[in-house]
Amino acid sequence: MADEQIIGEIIEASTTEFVAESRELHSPPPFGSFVKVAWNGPTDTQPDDPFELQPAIYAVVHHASTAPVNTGRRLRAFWKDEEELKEQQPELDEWMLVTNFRAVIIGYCANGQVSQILPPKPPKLLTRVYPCEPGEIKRITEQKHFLRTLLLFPSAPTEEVVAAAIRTAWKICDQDSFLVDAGKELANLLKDDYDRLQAIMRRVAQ
Amino acid sequence: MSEADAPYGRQEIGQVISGSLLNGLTMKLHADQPIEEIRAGKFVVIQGDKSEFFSMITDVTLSTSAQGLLDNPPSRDDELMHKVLAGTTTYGTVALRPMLMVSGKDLLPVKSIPGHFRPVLTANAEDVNRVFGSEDTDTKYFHVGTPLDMGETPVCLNLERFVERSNGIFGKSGTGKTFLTRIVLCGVIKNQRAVNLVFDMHSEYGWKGTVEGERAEVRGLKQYFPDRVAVFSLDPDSSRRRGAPIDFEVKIPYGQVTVEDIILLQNELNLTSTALETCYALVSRFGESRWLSELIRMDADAIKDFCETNNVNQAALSALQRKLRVLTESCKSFLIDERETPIDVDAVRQIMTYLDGGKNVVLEFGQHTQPLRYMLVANILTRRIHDYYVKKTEESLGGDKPKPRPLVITIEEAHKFLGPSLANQTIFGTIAREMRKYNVTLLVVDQRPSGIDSEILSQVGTKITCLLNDDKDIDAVLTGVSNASGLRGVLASLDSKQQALVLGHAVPMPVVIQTRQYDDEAFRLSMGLKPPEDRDDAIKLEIERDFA
Repeated sequence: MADEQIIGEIIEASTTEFVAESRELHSPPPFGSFVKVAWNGPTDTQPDDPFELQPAIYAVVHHASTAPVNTGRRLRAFWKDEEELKEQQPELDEWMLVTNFRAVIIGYCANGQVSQILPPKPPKLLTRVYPCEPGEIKRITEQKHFLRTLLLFPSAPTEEVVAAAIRTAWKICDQDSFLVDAGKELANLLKDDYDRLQAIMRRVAQ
Repeated sequence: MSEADAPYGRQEIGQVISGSLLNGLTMKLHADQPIEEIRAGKFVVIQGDKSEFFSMITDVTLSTSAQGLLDNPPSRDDELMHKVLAGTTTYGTVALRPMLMVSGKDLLPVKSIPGHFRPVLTANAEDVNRVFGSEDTDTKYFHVGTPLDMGETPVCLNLERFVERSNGIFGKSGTGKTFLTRIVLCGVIKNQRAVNLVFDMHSEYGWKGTVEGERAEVRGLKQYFPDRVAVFSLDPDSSRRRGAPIDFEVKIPYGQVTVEDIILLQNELNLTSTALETCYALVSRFGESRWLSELIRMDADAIKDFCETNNVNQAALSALQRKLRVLTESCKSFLIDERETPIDVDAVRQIMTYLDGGKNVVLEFGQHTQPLRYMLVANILTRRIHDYYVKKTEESLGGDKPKPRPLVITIEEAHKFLGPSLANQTIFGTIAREMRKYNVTLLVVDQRPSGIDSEILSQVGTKITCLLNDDKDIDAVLTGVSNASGLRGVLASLDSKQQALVLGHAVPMPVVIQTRQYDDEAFRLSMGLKPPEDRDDAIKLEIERDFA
């Protein structure tokens, strides 16, 4: 994976999610986008694998924030426009502020096989985060079990995350059948909560 | 099981999700199966672990797993939501009634049910042949139609079993009973499983019949089997006008009318029970063969004398005479006072000669379509033919003589003969109950089965039922059928034409059929009638030979 593609580096990791510092201030990966982290799992790839998937942990971005690096000191307003700020307070961009994003882990790849279950170990700290290639997104969203992981994730606006993830994958697949299949998976998951299903599908269609 | 694994022509449409042996099974319809193509009466196969369960679809239901959805349904334009919900939150469930268990080559009655989630498949041609037999394998099978949505696969009746019992063809007026009856009669005649005596009320069976709503005509039995069918007529003038050749003109002498025949007509003639007692008094005085002609000839003095000497009410006798005079007058073209006009050939003897010779007899009524005349003639003839058969059967039991050929008597408007108040008294009731002991059975054609005595209906072997709407009629047809609840809906949802539910002795399981086309090219060929071109060729050959 090329260095220019790096979008972040993990600064906090657990079994279900990780927090990464964005490479560029104010430019985290889009909400609901698919990202990956290199993983020191088995390295064999399948001979016929068109995407040649490397061992990786896949996650969906569900939260991003920008804040002062030093959390002990609260940032004050400068009452200046953007250009003036850049000229007069360059340190703001350079070292005072940082953008972080959080991503929920939806599966991993080992031996060229995508598994939509949590990886055996969380990703290592300070590991680089990359965006997923379109081919990878197609491959990892072939099965729709990841929607359940997203739906059940406790600390996120789940309807929004699910809708955004489906939209992202749908744009790449460019097939209405993808949308219907994803909808059916959600309908099965939310059979007792039709209102929530409706809310998500409405967001997807927008 | 995926579609690829299914035998050729079978297609998986759902999975069994619940059910019981008593109440039938419930199948969840696969999301890709359009619910509108699932029709009541369709023939399906459930693939169990050890057996296959041949079943009929009896009901189709819309189900949902989310009650809230019904309170707030998606809008009609929300196509995506409709697609998403179809098969997941909203789905079709189908009630199935297993009718037959097939284990290897054995066809067994259903005594168990398949397990959870077993696949339900549409039946293929091989399944239909396995259950209903095929004309190619045995002549006892006769193609009467095709299962619903199954193209050209024939469903066959087992004619050997069919003629063993009395049978019924039911359906509302205009649903194709007559066509079905013609088809079945053609089968019985072609395969020579029995001889037929058809009381042809509307002259539809003998030479030619009509097609309702069209100005077309179809061939009658005689045109299909000129050597094996004889047409008798009560009204030769009508036959002549219709251009239908007849073999014999039927005349019935007064001497053959018995009190039993009059009992049958008691509703039609509005007779009281006293009138019937009076009849018996006449019989005891004048004898079986002369009572009617004596009564018709009596004048006022003779009535008075008779009443005094025989202790009979004079008013009752006069009333009886009036009513029977009306009867004899209205039937005078075929009901003959043999003391005035002797009759050369006895119609019954003539019919028996034909039947003994393996010839089928169609008795056309011509203009005499009133129920009164039809019932009178049918009863007189049938009673004597039945007596004759009883005698012949007893002789065969006694020793050397062979059993008489099985005889099937076809009667229309059967509820008039077999109503609850008459069934115990008329010969038709006796035949329906005695069944095959004497090799005489009935083919009952009727539009009002609820008018037929339930005891008789329960003994009917094979029932072929076209559309019936009246609940009473549906109940009546399903009398004597076990687990009939599922079949009610099937019966009520038949098409109004050319669809029938066949159940009973001659088919291993109930089945809804699209009835075979009568008198089309394929039917003519299968009946052994040459195509018209061949006939033309044959005529040309004959002409060439004659002029050579």
